[in-house]
Amino acid sequence: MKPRARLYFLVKDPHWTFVWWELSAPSRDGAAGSEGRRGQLVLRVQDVTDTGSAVDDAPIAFDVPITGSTGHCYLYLPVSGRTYCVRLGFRSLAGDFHAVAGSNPLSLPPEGPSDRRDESWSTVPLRRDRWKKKAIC
Amino acid sequence: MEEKGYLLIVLHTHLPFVRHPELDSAGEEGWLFEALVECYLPLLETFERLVEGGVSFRISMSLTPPLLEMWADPLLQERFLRYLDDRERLAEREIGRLGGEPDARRLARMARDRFVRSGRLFRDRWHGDLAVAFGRLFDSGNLEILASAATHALLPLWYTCPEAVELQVRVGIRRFEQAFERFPLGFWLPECAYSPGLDALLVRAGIRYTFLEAQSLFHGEPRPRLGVYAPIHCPSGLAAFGRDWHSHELVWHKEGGYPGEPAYLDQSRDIGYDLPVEELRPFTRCDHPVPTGLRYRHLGSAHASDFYDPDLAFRRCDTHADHFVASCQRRVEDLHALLGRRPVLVALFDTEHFGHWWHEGPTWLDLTLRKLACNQKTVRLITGAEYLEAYPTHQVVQPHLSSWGYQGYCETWLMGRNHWIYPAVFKALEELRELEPGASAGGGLSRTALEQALRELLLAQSSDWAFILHTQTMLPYATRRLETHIGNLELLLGQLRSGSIDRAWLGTLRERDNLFAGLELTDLYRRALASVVPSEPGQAVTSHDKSET
Repeated sequence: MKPRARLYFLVKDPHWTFVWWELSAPSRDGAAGSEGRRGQLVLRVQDVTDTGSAVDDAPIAFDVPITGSTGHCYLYLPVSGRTYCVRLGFRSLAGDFHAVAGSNPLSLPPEGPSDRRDESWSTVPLRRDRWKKKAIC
Repeated sequence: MEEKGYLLIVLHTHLPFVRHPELDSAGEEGWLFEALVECYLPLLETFERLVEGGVSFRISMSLTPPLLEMWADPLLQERFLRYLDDRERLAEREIGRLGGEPDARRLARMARDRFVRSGRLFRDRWHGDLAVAFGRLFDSGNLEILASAATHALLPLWYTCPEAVELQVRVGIRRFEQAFERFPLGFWLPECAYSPGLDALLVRAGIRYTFLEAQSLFHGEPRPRLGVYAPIHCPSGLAAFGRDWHSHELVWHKEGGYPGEPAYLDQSRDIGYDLPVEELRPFTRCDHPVPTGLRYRHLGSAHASDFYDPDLAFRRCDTHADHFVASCQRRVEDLHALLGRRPVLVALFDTEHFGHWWHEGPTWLDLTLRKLACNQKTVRLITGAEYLEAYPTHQVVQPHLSSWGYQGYCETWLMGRNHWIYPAVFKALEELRELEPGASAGGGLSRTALEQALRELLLAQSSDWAFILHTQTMLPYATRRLETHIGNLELLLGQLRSGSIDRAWLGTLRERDNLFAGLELTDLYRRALASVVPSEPGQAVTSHDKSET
């Protein structure tokens, strides 16, 4: 069997997200073996809002230990209006983390109106007659 | 009184693709037939009558690709006429059965006349092709038709695989062009569901505006100074109109809104639920209770002989139309004074509300459009494109994730009963991506198989199935549809990988799931893959925009 790990990260509302993952046995064995058999499989949630979606320097929000054969969970993220990434990987006793799959960055909507009140305006002219009975592309 | 503002009415018209040539009769095809009789045909007739009478009006309508496909399908057209014949026979039987009840008998006669009239109009006037008839109204300028996604996918939930979203948008636009021979300006986001990045994708595809749930704007960055009473420009340049809840509530809700009027027809009291299934089977071709369109009670019916009175319902409808117009006038005047400019009230509805859920809806709309056109000048009906042509300058705001579903986000389509859909389809999408270059280059049978795989993919993405799994109304059917499309997709991908395609099975599949037969799906998919770029807010002013300016 080819090693394979997948992870999908979807937004439900300003706090709740859905994570689904799949880790093939070779992938699980290989990754766990490289860090020692005692590594714990975890979901690592990171706030990438201020790192341009890069996870390496992003602060860790929290780790969720994975037990049993679970392949999905709903994650509650306390701070809305931020962008997060989730990685699936093994955390060694020494605290090292070896990722086997990572998600797309996911932006949670804010819970309420913005404090920003600055304004900018743009003009985008539209001429309807140009669209009549002809295909543009 | 001078013009003080605008009313922009949008009717979102959609049904999932339901077509079962493998069965002599499928109850679920009745969803389309009921909507045709109760909603689409009455609205089309209403709009044509207004145009013929010289009443100028403006309505925006999305007509989704699955609906356009079903309208154009010869098998469904034939079955619709058979459905009308069945219902006419049933109504005749009811006229005989109700001999001792003159009021109910009158209602059965009216129902029979409606079935007969629907058949005559469908066959002789519109020649079975409703897209052409709606297209003529589009040409007249009274109706603006909006494009929508290929199969009504809830786009924010598919954004993990951007090419899947690109494909939904590209197929939707191409199907619109095919039907109406022009490029769409406006795009209806299924379930009004938006997430940042979709605006840039739509702009890249050439779309100019869309509609969003109010909170998407209210929670935007920065706060929109004019609320939902003027559109905003997303940083990509896409204009977005926000929904005005007040205009919607009156027309939509049974409690506190017009549809709850006691004199109106009680749609739930259908003889399909009251009479024995065996008795109705010769007319319904179904082994379970289904609505028949024969209803005799009104919402306030107090006893068995308290029947619906169409004349009283019409008078109440007239009063409700007056009330709505007056309410719009008042609000527009107040907002005009408050904002110092002409506001636009954006009222978004499911089209099926008018006639299918609210029997008097088409009559109410007819009266309202007439009163707005003839009795006042304060409020002017307008379309999105007309408004943007007149007012090209708007505040730049980044809207946030929202939908018009429960609680305003995605929880209806992403919860315990339906979340399995997404990983199953994402996995197939990954395999499709790995397979594509070889499969479409192969030509012949493998290209045909890839086209069909894309059809099955699109059908599995429909938000309707996830919605039904949430509400549990037609659970076995929605589950079967999802499992079938995902299963077909996986089998096709397996056959493409192994190079051994089952030609006979593929032929059967193409006959059954035959939508978008006139589109080059593999080309659209290849272009969708090629155009996938990271979508960040604030990017993408396309060459399309530059040519405009």
